[in-house]
Amino acid sequence: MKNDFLDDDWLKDELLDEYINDDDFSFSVVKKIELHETKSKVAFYAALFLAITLFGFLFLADLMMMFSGNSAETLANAQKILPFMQMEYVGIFVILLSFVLIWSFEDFDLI
Amino acid sequence: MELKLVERVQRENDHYAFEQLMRQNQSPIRQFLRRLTLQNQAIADELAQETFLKAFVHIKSYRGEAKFLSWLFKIAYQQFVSSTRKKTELTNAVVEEKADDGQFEQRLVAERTVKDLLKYLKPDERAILLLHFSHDLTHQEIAIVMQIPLGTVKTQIRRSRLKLKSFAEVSNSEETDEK
Repeated sequence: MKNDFLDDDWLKDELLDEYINDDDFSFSVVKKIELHETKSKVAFYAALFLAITLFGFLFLADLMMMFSGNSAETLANAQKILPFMQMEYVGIFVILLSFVLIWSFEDFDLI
Repeated sequence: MELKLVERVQRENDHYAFEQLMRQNQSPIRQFLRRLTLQNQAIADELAQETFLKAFVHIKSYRGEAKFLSWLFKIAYQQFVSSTRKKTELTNAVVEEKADDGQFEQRLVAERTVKDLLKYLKPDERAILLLHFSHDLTHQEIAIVMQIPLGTVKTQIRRSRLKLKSFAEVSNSEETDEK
């Protein structure tokens, strides 16, 4: 073996490797990226779904009563638990969350 | 051109742009990891895939201060270091044999190229030589990639190349004796 270790150019030549390039590699990485994105989305949708369910459970009865024309005094469910909440805002929030969920399903081809 | 692709990925999460970036940079990253893992191609390519995945996820933290390839080398080296904590046999097997007996010299004799001798260096010594001589990174860039002081980079390069030289001398002297 030639021994020219103090010569930079010689050492560079000796350590040079063959060029590697294949589409399979990029393809596999892109697949991994897509899988990663789906996983992180699933967590997001699960949280969103839980939030909607929780809000629905707490406020749906009150909202139904409100929209059917009953007076505020008859509000039953969440108003008793959370008297400081404004039902109108909660209603808008729940509707907004539902839209986000529906839009997410369509946008990311989850279904 | 490369910076524009990076911006597209940062702004639009563009997979196609990232694929282009991968095509441009996969060779040096895979070569580097193959040498670090003692030519274990399966593990090297797995680490390379993890490197690019991590790069994609954290691409917003790349601000263009260093070359994109240097940034990828930094991630690749971190991936390699964390994998060696789990799989030490991959990187240290040959080096540890030095402590054994005359077997180390015997193995050196069988080596014919500088690339073969690389595997007798410690992983960080191997990395520093590869980054500098195979991939043309400056001392400053290597310091950032390996997160070590600039002075250490210079000392390590000198020490590692002298170590390689001494390995080659053992190999050559035994060859001469045989003749």
